Amino acid sequence: MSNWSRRRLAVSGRTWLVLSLLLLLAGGGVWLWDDANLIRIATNFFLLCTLVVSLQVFVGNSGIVSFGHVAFFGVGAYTAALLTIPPNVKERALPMLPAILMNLETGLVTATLGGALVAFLVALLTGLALARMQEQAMAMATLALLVMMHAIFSNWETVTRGTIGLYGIPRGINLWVALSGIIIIIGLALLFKASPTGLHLQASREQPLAAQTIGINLVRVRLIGWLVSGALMGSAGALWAQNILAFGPDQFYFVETFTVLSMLVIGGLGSVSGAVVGAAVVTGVSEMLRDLEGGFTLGPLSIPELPGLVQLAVAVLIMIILIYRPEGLLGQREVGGKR
Amino acid sequence: MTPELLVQQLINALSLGSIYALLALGLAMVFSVLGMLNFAFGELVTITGYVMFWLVAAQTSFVTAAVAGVIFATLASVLIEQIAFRPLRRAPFVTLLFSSFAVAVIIQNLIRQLVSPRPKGVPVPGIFDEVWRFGTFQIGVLPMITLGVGLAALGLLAAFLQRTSWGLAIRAAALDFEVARLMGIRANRVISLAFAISGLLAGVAGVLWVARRGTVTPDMGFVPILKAFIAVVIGGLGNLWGAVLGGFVLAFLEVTLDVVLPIEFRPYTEAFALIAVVVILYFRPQGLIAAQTAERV
Repeated sequence: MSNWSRRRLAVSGRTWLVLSLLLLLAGGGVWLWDDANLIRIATNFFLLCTLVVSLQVFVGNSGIVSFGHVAFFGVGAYTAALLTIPPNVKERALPMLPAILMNLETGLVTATLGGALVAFLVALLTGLALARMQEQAMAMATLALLVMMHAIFSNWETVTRGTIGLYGIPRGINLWVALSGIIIIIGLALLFKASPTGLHLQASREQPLAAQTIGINLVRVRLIGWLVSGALMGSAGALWAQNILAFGPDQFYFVETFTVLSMLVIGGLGSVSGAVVGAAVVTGVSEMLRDLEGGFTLGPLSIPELPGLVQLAVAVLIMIILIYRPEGLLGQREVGGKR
Repeated sequence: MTPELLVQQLINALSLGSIYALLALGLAMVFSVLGMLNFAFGELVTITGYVMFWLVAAQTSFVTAAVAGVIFATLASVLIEQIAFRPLRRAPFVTLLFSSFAVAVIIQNLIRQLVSPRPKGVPVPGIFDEVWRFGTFQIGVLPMITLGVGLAALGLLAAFLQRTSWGLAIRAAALDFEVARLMGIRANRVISLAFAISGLLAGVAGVLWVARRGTVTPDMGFVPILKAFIAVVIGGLGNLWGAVLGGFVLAFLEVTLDVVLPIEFRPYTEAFALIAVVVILYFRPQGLIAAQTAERV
């Protein structure tokens, strides 16, 4: 319908360069420091960023909250697991698996693209109904998607091994692979944001009626945003699976949904850089509080286990940020851009 | 299927439906007045549950504990609005949604820290487990009590909304909040009232919920809020009686699937119910009863 805006592309390109450079500096610094724990935290952080940035593609551009994206994350993770687990492990863990899947053993890139593809298909099936709904109804229906996929993950024993979960995924991720992953996904997210469809989606976020009057098809742009975001989320899940190596269905449920959404809100919904900043803030807070959660002693005072302390702190942080900075830390601004 | 079984399942569906209807109506009450989705609504059920747990553990009768639970849920609902939502009154939909999301997580984790992360039992009176027999018909006492309490609460609320001036104020605010204010309705009072009713409904539903489960857990509010969300969407957003209808439709769907599906598909009952809901919404994106107002601009 319309052409690419060269100015938007230039702004997005600049943001991408600045963000990539910052992440590269962080990754390089950690690598030089050479502390195993720090490298683990940084790798997890980059993988988390891929999740939050993928979620931002839909939520940020459309302004519609999705509680269902963690389902795509799970779809990507399970797909990657099925594609990469060696056949001899599968024979023991999943004896009923169809022969085609049983004998597959692919590498990192294929598994990641496979995760994206399957997530894309799930997004297509659900999106056809979801994209037609009113904004608020769609937000609620995405929660139904989360529950539906969780029921499938926990009960489809031939493929997912039910609530026990899968194991034996070969490690395909190190610090540099995670860093490349996040840089690519940030690039794609920024590209979508600057694309005609991305701009139409943002217009529909600001003024749905006005957007329709200039000929924007709300259902179509929302569906495209949903598909792109779902596929990215699937690839992010695939990357994550190859770092965590063993997982179960409960890792794709309410707590994770809260975690990624809170990162997005804290950083600012409308900004890709905000997604990264939010992920950094929440990772920082969580790492600081995680040790306290297990209980600690303060002089003569012995504090017992504090279950859920991290979540509680993050929730309070969200409340404070919402009251003082309703748009999140960055609002709509991007790093390295004027807006 | 024998007629006996049919009657039993019908009563099951109606009793489950009345709980869902209460929950959906509570959620829709706040949505239609303020245009906000209150994610913390499920935690009102949790609060009811824990108040009952404490009182029953302290040798209070079940009925007293239930009444106290409902009162606490009502107060908590009003209080949450004053603390967490009033400072954000002019904020966009998404901000309010996240704010209520955060409130839900805060309450859950406070309970986790102050009480226990593990499930706690709430002993329910023995009569709840009994069965009435009429010839070949067997009818559980609990489903009948649930149905009775649920319908009574819905009836009282309907009378309140239709017959009193406060009810009129709420209905007017639900239809068009700005015009209702111009007509001299005090915004803060109507909003507080809506939250109080919402809390009351959550409390009543919470009592019935606890009577079914017999345990309380910090995350027990998740399933109720989910059912309420779905029921509200089925019924049509921003429509009070649509929410009630949606609750019953959802319950009938679930009970029917439970009966019809072969055993090996039972774990997927919920997933199938949700697929059915998505199908309904594909053909009627506005829900079964679309809101009567024009599109909000």
